[in-house]
Amino acid sequence: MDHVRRWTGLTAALLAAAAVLGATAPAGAEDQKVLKAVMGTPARILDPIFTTAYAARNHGYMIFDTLFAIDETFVPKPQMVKEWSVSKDQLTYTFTLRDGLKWHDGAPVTSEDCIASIKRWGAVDGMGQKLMDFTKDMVAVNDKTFTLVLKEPYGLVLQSLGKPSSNVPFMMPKRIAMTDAHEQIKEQIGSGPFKFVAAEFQPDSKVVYVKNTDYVPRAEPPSWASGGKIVKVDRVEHLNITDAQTIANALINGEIDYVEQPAIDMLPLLQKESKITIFNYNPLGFVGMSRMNQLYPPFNNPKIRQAVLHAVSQEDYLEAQIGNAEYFKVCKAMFICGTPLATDAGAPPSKPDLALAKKLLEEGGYDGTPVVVMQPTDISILAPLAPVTVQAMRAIGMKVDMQSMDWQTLVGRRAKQDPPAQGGWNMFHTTWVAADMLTPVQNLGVNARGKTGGWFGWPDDPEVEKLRDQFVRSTDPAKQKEIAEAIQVKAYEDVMWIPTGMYFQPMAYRTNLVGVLKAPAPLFWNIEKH
Amino acid sequence: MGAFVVKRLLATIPVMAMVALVVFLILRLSPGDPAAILAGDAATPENIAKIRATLGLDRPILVQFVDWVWQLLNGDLGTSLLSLQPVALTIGQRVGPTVSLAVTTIVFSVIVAVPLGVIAAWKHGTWIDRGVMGLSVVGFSVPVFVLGYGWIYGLAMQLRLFPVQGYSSLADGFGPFIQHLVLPTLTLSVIFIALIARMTRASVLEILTEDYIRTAHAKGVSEQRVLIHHALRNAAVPIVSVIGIGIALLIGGVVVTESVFNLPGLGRLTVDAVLARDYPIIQGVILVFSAAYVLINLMIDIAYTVFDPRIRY
Repeated sequence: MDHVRRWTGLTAALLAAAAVLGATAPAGAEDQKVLKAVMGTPARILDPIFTTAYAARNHGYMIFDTLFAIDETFVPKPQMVKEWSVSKDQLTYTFTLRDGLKWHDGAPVTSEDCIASIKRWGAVDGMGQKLMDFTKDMVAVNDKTFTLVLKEPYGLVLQSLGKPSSNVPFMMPKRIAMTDAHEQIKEQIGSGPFKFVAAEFQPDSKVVYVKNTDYVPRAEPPSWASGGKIVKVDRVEHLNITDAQTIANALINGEIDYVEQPAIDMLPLLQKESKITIFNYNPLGFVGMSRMNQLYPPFNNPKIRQAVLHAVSQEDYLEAQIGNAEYFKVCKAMFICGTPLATDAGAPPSKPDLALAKKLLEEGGYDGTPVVVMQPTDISILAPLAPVTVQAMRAIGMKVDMQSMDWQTLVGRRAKQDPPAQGGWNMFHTTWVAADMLTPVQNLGVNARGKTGGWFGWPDDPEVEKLRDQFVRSTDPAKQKEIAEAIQVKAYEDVMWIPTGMYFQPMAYRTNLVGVLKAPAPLFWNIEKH
Repeated sequence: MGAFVVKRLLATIPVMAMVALVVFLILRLSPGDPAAILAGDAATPENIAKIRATLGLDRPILVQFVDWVWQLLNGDLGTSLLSLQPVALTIGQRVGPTVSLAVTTIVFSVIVAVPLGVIAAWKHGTWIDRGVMGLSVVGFSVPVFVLGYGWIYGLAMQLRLFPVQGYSSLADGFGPFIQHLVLPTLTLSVIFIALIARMTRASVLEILTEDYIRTAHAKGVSEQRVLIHHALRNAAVPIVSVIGIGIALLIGGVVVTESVFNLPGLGRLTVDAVLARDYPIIQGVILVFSAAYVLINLMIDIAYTVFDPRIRY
């Protein structure tokens, strides 16, 4: 008995000693304002042009800057650019850079740097490629002025240079921007408001940034990624915590300051805490997509694709995915509700019409070919989508083979153009940051280039491609809207993709943070920590 | 002994060569494409194909294998496909939390479990014995994550004695270092305390029936001396084996604990690398694990000779 008491006492003493040791240990650098943020996805790829991964985009916003940036009214505003002009024939854009722009290694930002950066971005990004298709030349007039000369008028020059989400046209020094766009850059030198701390980089775990004291912010107030990027903390740590409960506990305990994407089912717990703010930072939200492979039966038949379109309901998807109506919205607009090109044209009614779906299936001559649906099980926001579609397809008499796998297996497999029976696929689901879907150029769902140049699923429709070309040639917003509407009607008719609804992913942060910005991506300037 | 150690160390070479070959083949033959992961969700198949070519992943598997082996022979574990960081550096960043947690867990478990096992054996058949064995069953049965959340709720969220999560390197001070390790250590220790206590009890109980124990008692040797110097020492070999296996398990696979307490250790590195198909990291980590296992087993074999001088190699 004495032994038991002795051991119990010793254990308690050790625990108390450890607690005291920690409590009395120097916390280190208390005079520094450090913002600890848990990000939705860990940054391990640090080249926001090489990859479209949102983690790399978020990293890009920390250390790089852009020539233009879209504000909250969807208008592109100059950012690194001081002034710009366009010739009367709409063919020559002239850009002059702001004074005082410097790379993190101290060198000045030059026109040559910007031209090289635009070219690298234009080699991989869909919107950039389109701009490059219309670009005849880019010429440095002097160190701070350059021109972009078009082959013919192009209506999206500034929107392209201010593209808010992946791939964002971030500016890099020429020596870095000369890296092949399909190879990662090896230096993290930008001209943005934060500097990357290479010595503290731990892939998948921690990325550290410090304030760039040489940064000269614009005078305008911040609006999305445009305006003054005034940094009000000394250091930002992007952390990766994988467990949703641990994230919530750490935030409640004040061990972290900011969570980009708390799990939806943790929100009620966090809402009860008086020292935590829940904030919908991305008012455009996210949008879900059901995508069919148009290369092989049964989805090479538009009637069968239409049958699936009429069998599903956005509400079913959103209930399964989010389950809280406060955070989702039915939205039929392929170019995103609440934006200039939003329209319901061509969309089916909200309620599924199983009788019509069955009729379309019969008209399409569906012969019982099993449909291979890939379901990712490791991403909670994606996992519920496939079972909803599968249930709807079975309800109208389709045979379905739902194959569960991890997301990375799906990503590898969806690139295969082989028949489903030979390792290919018929259907998958994904979600997008809505800012990636705002125009027919950005929105990969309406890319109709087919097997070469198209996106997974490979719809091939010259008529849609013709409309997309007309869209970019137009410089009149009213005309652009008309064309976008025509594209959407055609996209619904062809069932190029099925929007599964819009949802909002709020962030959570401690109330001692002030000035968190609304934007399509998490931004860290303007935030004060009290 | 020296010859034995050299022989065992040389035996690691074919073991690791076999591990390298098997891991390489499994990774290349399993589904998933690092190029598609690198390119991101919005990339086109053309972009993915170009990245695959840039990384050399479109070359024949044999060519890729020969390249990798050549790198290894030059002392280079390679570079992460995703972060471009050297594999050795990445592993080096993650070794600290894993080894620290393994050491604190084993030390704490041994300190608690061995006396418990000895007492249970000494008082076998009494309520103390039944109590210790009952707690051992509970220790085996409760999932690690339940224990982890329990400790977090009680000691971190309610009493605020310890942080909920994270790791602080020893270089940043002993206080924060140990403070961050207390809860994960308590969590992981429960199962090891249960295991070692049961093993200790069984071994000591067997020894206590030996003639020399009765002789010691007859000579008037104190109970404490009999238990520690006669019984425990002779029961040590199986206990050391269990402790050795425990260390190996702790080095290689505490993913759940690392996730619950957000410890950036080797377990999470392995899982993240597997999910991202980061071949060089997976290959490097598994090679390091296999080397560690071989060395731990060697140390256990050497430890046998300390506790039982009759064992000779």
